[in-house]
Amino acid sequence: MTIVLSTVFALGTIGAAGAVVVLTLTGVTRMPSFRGALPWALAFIFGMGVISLQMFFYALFALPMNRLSIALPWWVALAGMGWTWRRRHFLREHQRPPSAPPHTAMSAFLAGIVAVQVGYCLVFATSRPVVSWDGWAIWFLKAKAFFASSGLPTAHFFASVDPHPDYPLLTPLTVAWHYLCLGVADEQIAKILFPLTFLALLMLFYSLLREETGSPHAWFFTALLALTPFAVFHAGGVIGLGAAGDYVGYADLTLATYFFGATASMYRYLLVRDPRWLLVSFLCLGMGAWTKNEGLPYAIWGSVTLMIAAKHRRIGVAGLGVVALFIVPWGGFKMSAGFANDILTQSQRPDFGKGIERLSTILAWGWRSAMQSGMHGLIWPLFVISAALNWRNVARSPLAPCVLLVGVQLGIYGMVYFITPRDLEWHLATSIDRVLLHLSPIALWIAGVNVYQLSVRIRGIGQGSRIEEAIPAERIGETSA
Amino acid sequence: MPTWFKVVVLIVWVAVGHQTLSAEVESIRKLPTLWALDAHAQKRRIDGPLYEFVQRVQEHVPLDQAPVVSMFAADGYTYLKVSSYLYPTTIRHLDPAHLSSQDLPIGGYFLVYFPSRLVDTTSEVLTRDWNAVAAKLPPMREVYRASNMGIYQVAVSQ
Repeated sequence: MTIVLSTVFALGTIGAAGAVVVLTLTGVTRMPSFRGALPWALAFIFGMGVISLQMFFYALFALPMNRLSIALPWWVALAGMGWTWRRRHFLREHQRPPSAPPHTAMSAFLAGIVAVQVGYCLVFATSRPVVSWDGWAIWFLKAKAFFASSGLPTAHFFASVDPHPDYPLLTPLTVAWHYLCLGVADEQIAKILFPLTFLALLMLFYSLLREETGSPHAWFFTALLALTPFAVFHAGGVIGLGAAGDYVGYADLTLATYFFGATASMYRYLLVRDPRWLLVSFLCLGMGAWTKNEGLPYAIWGSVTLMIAAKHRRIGVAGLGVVALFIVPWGGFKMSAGFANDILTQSQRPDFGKGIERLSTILAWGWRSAMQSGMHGLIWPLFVISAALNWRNVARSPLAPCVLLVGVQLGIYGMVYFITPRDLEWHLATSIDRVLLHLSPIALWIAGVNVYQLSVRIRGIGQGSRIEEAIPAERIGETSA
Repeated sequence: MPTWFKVVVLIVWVAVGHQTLSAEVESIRKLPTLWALDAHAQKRRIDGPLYEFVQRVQEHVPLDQAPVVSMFAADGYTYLKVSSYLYPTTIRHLDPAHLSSQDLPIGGYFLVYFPSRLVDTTSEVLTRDWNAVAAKLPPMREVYRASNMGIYQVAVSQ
């Protein structure tokens, strides 16, 4: 019972911290598209980001790290904001957005698939201890070190015990927060964060696709994401596929969630020009960089793209500050402590004589993982084919910058493999599926938008170009507002 | 999109990832066993050579109370879990092929494993010559003496 109550408190505080961020973003007012599951999902992922950052600052400045000192500021802030929100909500009741269309039997069926998949992940992930290698040896070890130290672990820990001291701390410190609430380092129950992240990803995915395409179409693609094998491996794990079937404890699904949030929010901003989407995108970019090193180039390119496209320059600059808040302190700490990334420090100038051979190996592995293995369902073939068919829209804003970001990130991953000091085959075998997972939700979401736009076009041609009939009313309202 | 088209795509999608879904079904089927084993293991105090081994680990690793060693099986592996008040941790059996790429020991771990198979070989785990395993402890002892972190994650191997 204590475990349950402590877990509820830990997760509730994450939600409260995230809710404070969401309410701050929306200006404590109702935002037309911030409805349904979206604010809950954002609250969860933002909560993980700000709580972990708060804990890092506490550790850095040797502030007392306990349940009260971490949770109290958020609960107090939320109570204050909640009071303000209630009053404004009452005043703006008449601005309630149009109610959603009734769900069809097919939508209910698809929602059932999503619920079963999430339920499975929640139950199975918490039914056995951490068995994934990186989860056990990197992410949960860091969490245990922070918990055991009640602050910053010793220099010896980072120098000799931690296999990757340069890895960012969002996941370890979120787990450490759970440990703090429990009073023990119970790895098994702490695994609940990962299926909940999966749930948040699916909620974000559904909400942001619904804004573009309407509910039935969004449920369909959300169900496809929920049925994607490699996502399930990271959210719940399975028995029977050995080590390849359980990645719960890795930070890759969390990173995929932030990447998706950043990119889909960028799309929303470019479409409706509401500056709050700009800030959501910047927040996700910053938290992605705070989750894994791979998030750093994405944050840089994403920020550059947003600043080029942003019409709200001052808010854009504030967004850059948000990204810096998640990158600079940790970067400074890493530099002062001398933590270096093994790939960057040990890599040698690539031998271009062998370049073709390496490139062909990388492309072959990429092809197998994306197109043949079934690990990512049919996401990548669907992405490529739908983008080719919908090339007119893909080639212009708001889809073009999103596709470009995916392409640039894939190029960066390719470059890492190109210069890796490790055995290339081993490096590819242990990571190619995971780096594709970072971008798979975005690829499926773009494919969902492509398919929708193509179907509207086909229907429009067949029915006399009444395209606007197929566009959700709330989207038209938001765009014109 | 028409409903029939959605159904077709769903079927194809599931067919492509059928291995995962069948593994999910298998995992659900084994859940009661997992829970029963875990519940049983939580109450069980393993003794004999294995417990002596844990005692020897404890000599090097500060625990705030005597560890309780529990055991459960899943996925073709035997898992051993050493729990103390402060730091529950897991002693695991891992796929040797996976370990070979990690070149033990790594960092603060002293990682060892044993090729056992589920509860059928519990007796093997309990009766094996753990002195040979314990002989490999010094590197870990050095690490923990130096760090004084109290972090102990030990996987047992042959």
